[in-house]
Amino acid sequence: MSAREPIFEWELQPGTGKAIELRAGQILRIEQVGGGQCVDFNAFNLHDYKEFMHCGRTRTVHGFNPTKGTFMWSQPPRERALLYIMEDTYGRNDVLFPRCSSYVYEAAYGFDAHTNCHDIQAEAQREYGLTPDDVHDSFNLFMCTEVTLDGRATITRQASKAGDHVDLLALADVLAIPNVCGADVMRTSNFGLKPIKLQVFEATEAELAAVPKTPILRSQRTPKDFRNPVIKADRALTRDPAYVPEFTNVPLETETLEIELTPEEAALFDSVRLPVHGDDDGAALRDVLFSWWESRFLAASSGAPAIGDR
Amino acid sequence: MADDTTATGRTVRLVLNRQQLELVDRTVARGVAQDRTALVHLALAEYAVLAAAGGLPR
Repeated sequence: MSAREPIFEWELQPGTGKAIELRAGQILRIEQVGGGQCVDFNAFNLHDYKEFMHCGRTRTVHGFNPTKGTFMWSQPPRERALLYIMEDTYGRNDVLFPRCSSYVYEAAYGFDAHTNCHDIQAEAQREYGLTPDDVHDSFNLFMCTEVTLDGRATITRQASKAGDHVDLLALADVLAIPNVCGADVMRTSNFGLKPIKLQVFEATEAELAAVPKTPILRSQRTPKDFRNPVIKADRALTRDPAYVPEFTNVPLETETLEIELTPEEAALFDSVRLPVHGDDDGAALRDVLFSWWESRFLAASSGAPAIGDR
Repeated sequence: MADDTTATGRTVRLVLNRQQLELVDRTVARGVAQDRTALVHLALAEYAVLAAAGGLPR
């Protein structure tokens, strides 16, 4: 993708973000100018802002550090691949940490006002009528993080260089909002804030054809499937007196299977049953049954659609 | 609690809800086993092999 002309160019200055309408089939390149700069990123369905990129979903499918060849997914019950990470020359991104906020800089550093990713995102999104409450968890590009053995997430310095870039291919029309992370007193961007170059390109047919196919499932629901498709317009929560719960498959009726084990099978069962079930034979055998099923048939590891297996 | 134990073996009461049964029945319908009970026996046998080989995630 080196020689083609961009259809949009912008240089994000420290402390700023930019909302960009990115149509399906267009590529947003987010590029280091000086190197060592974290970029926070939000994305919304351009035609329905209630669908947005969901770090939790993305983390479940692709792990803590998604990179080239992975997708940015929207939240349940939409669960669509909104963007495809087509290129990532540095290869370190994060979906563990939330965006930094003014609270962090006041509580930890004593600032009355300080650049922070939440407020930068909110200000950039305001161009499209969104509110500070609409900013969602950020996909943190060029951010190096680790999970320690005691389960804490930590930030480390980064080594991205000028020219390092991430290419995000839109699979749906989205409002894409990158911002220069505001953390100049943290190691996130090596204790400094630098500009970031943005470019938008049209993808080629070959690039589009190279995107792995993602599943189209009945469970990927949109407002036309919702029992309540209306976006709530007021702030207070009040009970609907007409509400009747309609939980899926409830009541969950059960059936008992009497399983006769031979002495050999009983010995085998006792040798593999897990201690967590105590002396509950039924629970232990159910665990055996579904653990076996997972190992033999599960096509979508981590409970998420596996790419390319449908 | 432990289920019935006899000199010839043991009866385990396996309680499954209808979603779990649906998965079992779909698996049987794929020809993996003749019926639900046969599937459970197959699962136990193959699970034991996997466990012995260290091939099961915890």
